[in-house]
Amino acid sequence: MIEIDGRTTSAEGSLLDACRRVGANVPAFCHDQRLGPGAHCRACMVELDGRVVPACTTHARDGQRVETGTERLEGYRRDLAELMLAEASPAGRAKETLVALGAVADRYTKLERMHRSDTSHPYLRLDMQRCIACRLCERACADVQGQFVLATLGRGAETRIDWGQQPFAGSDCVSCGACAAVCPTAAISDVDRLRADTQPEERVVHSTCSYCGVGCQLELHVAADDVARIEGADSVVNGGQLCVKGRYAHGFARHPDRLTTPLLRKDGVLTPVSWQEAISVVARELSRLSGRVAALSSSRCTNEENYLVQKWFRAALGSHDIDCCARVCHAPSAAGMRRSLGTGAATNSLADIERADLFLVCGSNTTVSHPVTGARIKQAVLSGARLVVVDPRRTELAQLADVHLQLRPGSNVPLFNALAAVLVEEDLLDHDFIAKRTEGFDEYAKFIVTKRPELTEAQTGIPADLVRKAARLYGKARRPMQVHGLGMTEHYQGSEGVMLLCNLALLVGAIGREGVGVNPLRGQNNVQGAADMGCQPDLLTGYADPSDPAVLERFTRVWGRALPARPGRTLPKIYQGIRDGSIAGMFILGEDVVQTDPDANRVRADLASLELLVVQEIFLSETAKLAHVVLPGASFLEKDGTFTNGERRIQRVRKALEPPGQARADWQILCELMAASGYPQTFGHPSQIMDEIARLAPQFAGVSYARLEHEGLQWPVPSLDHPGTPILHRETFPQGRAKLMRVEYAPSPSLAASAAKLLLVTGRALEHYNSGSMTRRSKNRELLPEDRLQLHAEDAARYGIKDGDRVLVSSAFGHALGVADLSDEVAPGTLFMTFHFPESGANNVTSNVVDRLADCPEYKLTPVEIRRAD
Amino acid sequence: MKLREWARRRAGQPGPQSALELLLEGRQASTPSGYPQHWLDGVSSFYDYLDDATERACDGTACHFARGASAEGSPVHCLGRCYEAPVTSLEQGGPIPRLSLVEQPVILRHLTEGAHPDPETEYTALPDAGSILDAVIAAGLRGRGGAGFPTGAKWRMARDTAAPDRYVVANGDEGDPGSFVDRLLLEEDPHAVLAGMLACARAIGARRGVVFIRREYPRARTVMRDAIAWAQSSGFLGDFQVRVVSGAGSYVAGEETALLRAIEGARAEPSPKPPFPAERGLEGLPTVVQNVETLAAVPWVVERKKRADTKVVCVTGAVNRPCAVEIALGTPLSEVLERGCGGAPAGRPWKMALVGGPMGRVLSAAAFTTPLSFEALPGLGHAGVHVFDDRVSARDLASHLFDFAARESCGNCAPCRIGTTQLASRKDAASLERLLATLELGSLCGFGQGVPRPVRDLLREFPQELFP
Repeated sequence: MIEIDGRTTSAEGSLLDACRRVGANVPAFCHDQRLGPGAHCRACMVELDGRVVPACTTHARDGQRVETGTERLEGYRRDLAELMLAEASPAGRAKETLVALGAVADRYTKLERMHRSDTSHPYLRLDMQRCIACRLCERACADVQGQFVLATLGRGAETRIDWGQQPFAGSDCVSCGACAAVCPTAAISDVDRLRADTQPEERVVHSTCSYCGVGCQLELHVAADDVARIEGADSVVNGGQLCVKGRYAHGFARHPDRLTTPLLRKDGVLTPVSWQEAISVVARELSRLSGRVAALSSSRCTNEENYLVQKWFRAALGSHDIDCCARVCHAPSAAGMRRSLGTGAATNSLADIERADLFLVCGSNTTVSHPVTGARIKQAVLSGARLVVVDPRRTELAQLADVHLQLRPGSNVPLFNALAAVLVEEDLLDHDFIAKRTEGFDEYAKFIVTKRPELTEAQTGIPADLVRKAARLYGKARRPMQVHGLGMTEHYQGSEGVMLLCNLALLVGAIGREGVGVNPLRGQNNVQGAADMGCQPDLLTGYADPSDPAVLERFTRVWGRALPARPGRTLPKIYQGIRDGSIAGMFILGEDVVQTDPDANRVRADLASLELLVVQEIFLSETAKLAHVVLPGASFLEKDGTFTNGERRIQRVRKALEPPGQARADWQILCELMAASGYPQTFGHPSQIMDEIARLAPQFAGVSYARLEHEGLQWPVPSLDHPGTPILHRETFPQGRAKLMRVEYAPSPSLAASAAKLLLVTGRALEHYNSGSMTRRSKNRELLPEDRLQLHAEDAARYGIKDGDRVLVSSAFGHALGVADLSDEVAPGTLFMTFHFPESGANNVTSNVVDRLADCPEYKLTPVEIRRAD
Repeated sequence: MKLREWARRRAGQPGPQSALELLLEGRQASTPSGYPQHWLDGVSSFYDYLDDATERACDGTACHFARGASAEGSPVHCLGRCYEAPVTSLEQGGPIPRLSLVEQPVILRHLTEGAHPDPETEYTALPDAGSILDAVIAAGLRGRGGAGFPTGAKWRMARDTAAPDRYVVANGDEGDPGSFVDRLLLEEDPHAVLAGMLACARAIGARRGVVFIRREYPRARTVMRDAIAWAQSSGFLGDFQVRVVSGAGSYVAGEETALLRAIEGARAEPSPKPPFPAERGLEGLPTVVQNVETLAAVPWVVERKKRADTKVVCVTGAVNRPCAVEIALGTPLSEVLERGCGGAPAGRPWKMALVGGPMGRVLSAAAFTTPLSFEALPGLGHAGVHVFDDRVSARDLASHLFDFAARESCGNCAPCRIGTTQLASRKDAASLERLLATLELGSLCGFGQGVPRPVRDLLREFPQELFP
């Protein structure tokens, strides 16, 4: 124990920690719980057994006596505060503290310093005359984000924080906002903070971010029924960190474009109608089209809402024709991993990033698509972990990699076979693991030796020695952790590519323990959950198999209805169904498929031919514009529920705002639709829906809202006393042993079908999120106003294209327009384009080729031609 | 260190490149270093002696008062040639005068009249690893850099910290104006220093060493590099790999944690202790940082297993023979000045002396009988002594000290960064005392904590001259 001002506490952490625990008022300007002590401000001096010591850097030890308020200390602090006022004019909490210390502003000679100020950035504001050089911003930028935008310049009294010659907006800043979050003086602030200064905040609501699948925990600061600002909550998922989307792109919530009333197409025009009319039209028409209806649920919506959509369609409308956007992203991960390992979800947790000693990052531009996870990987690499990146683009992580395998788009299968061949050939294997936990090794070994990297150079474009180097790094690492993105899955052989990732992990025994695993980074906030809930044609809630009589019995009992006998169809097959007349009505919840699905012209034509298209949305999306009925739903800020992130963690979403106008929480709308379909539900709150899910699916048996209150739970959670499962397959696999899969390379049909020489890859930019419906309606648009087409200077020269030119991209399927961005991130022959802006039409050119096992479209490989648009 | 790894990875270079070394090499901006330019600016703007090609006047204590005014232009702060002050940077200086007041000099054992360095014996006479640490502890050897920390305890800490490797660093950043013994040793007896490092390396189990030498001592760097090459090629160093790293003009870089940052190529800013460098230093490895003078004494101590109770004192200013003089610790200053330095020049009575540099002590002439030892004179430091005659006022000396403090404060911690700018403008003793207390209580390292020491002596001894 340690005594502080007569109060005792345990001798844990620093003296400053101990002082905070007993509530002693010790000022500290440069200390942050995440970043640790800075030892710059020297304000936290205390008396330890009569000696004056800094509380932040002194360890608490049993038996110490600490005083924090002696006359000597008070005199010291006041003098220090007066010195600080000679140097700077701080605002914010630093100013409050200095005033509280009794500082007189003009006791010392005011120092004349050079001050920069900057307003070039849409969110961040810099006014360095406030800066007290506490360095928290510099440390946050370096030690949390790993961006190194802020640096200390000068010596002595010239010491200052700087970001280079250019305006701040032109720096390498990725707008994560960590600097503003830690700055005690408001020298670095953001527009949200400045607004919050003038508008009293009413309350703080904890929730889960609705952008990517990382699942960052948010503190929503609410004022006047709007989000005043968003801070990162201190959680195991994000440790207080956020990205430019999660922290800043919340302007969509109160955007005038929000849908505020149900719309019904009358005489060809979408016309406001009452809820009653809209609901009854939907129910009547679905009933009329019975047997020919399909649903696309939304990975942006909650688990509870996804559960209701599939329950409605299966139990009330008699259709398994239900899918979700996992189909267009990680369905191949689920399919491939289920075949190899038995479970189609990430084997490990985000917390394993700090335990791994090597990362194999495949087809994932992590720092862009999953920024908080990307930053975490970057920190681990800068702290000593090794990094192998497999990507046709020289991504930020690729630039930091020990080995970057810049493969030709579409050559995943030969590359990953070659990596495995090296492991086998050079005996970098975990024989014990292979013997005890896998099957088929002998046949596999005979197969794989024919796939040596020397034989696959022509297919992948990667020199064999580089492949060998990467394989050795992976094979020799103690805790090699894989993460992969859509560059693995969105291919003709997407599922098979994922199986090959599983093979690698199995060969070196990197499954079922800390710091390893096969870890798909789920793209959408709740794409994991949408699939978990059963929004896919072939599997019910909790991945239950509808062909299993015991499963059928259970669902029939809980749902009180028989399940349809006819198997369901995946989204691409649903589109086919529209074309062959077997589907005439469709319900789409929160997905803008016209913008985001490939071969968009075809999608548009298909949807336009429907007898009934119902779209439940928050904006009049490209898809909603085609609808017969549009139902105004709620954003994640306006309802309760849960999202499940990419590490299978079920986390709470909490209502902070009222939906605008007549818009309603989606789960409420769904309950009304179900009732109108003759299948009334009794749910009064989403927690009751989760209770039903827990009764139905063994993986969620132990889940309840009460248990999700802090940090959530990682499924499987088989019972109420089960703590959740951070790491899968510790002892065994669901089917006993994992399978080593033999996969032959089958080139994409696209390559044979087209003579075009350039290969287009599509994906995300940091500033925007998928269809962009939310981020385009925020100031993120100022950060990135258009879809860019990345191309190598050689290709640009060949086609007479200059940086900034508008470029027409053409394929067999259609045309798109992008703004040329000459970049060495892509190799000659490869193009990259984002799909965030409807006007660019990126998905008009993507093809109708899909993964041959899981029907996921091949977004990552389209042969195209380009020319300058005039 | 994260930035350095980031830069290394982005530049695609095999070995980590120090930003400071890049800057000193004058690497062209077109060469991709991996570092962001403003971060390189952050390093270069910390140091003030990156450019050593331009002639610059010295404004160290001896040169300052010999000139009777501050140097023009952008001066350097002590070239270690105080015995021939005032000097400029590109001159060829004269030899360093030295002598010993003890019969058997330890530190200057090869350098006084009639003695010669014997490099080969220096290495071959070193005992094996087992007995070195015992000898250092038994001899009660204490650091000569200023802090007087027991050397054996530091080595033991490094040896007992579990690690795959360890570092020995020779601190040749002799920043105190008025001291030149490190330069003398580095230039004229480098093998004594190197053998001391080797002894330490054997004792603690280190395979890597760095000799950090300030930019102001170009000859010392050349001599040391040659000495290392000779010792390596002659096989005396075994698997002990030593390299020379240059400073770039920063007094605070001499502080041991700041020194490590400078070796890493960053801004030389001190960090809080613990962890001590002996636990976690360069590359996170246990690192013994030892002053050059201490290391030079080590071979003598471990070979003879005797106490080394001597210290080299560098005396400049108002004496007839400025020199580096080895004395028995405890010798009164007056005896050093009379016997070693030939007393005061005719007609210029002594007024006071600055002992131990700008963080040291001011003794009035009446107190020259004070014995020079770490115990009798806390603040003895590296034991540079500058003697003033009656032409210099206490106010002049105070101003010089204030200028030095403001110029050399690294800016890392608030009390020192801001406080040192306010010393000169204090209007009364009480206000100055209050500021001194803040500097002393709050500063992170010995620099800010030490600034008040000589100022307090001046306030006590010459109150009327400071605030008439």
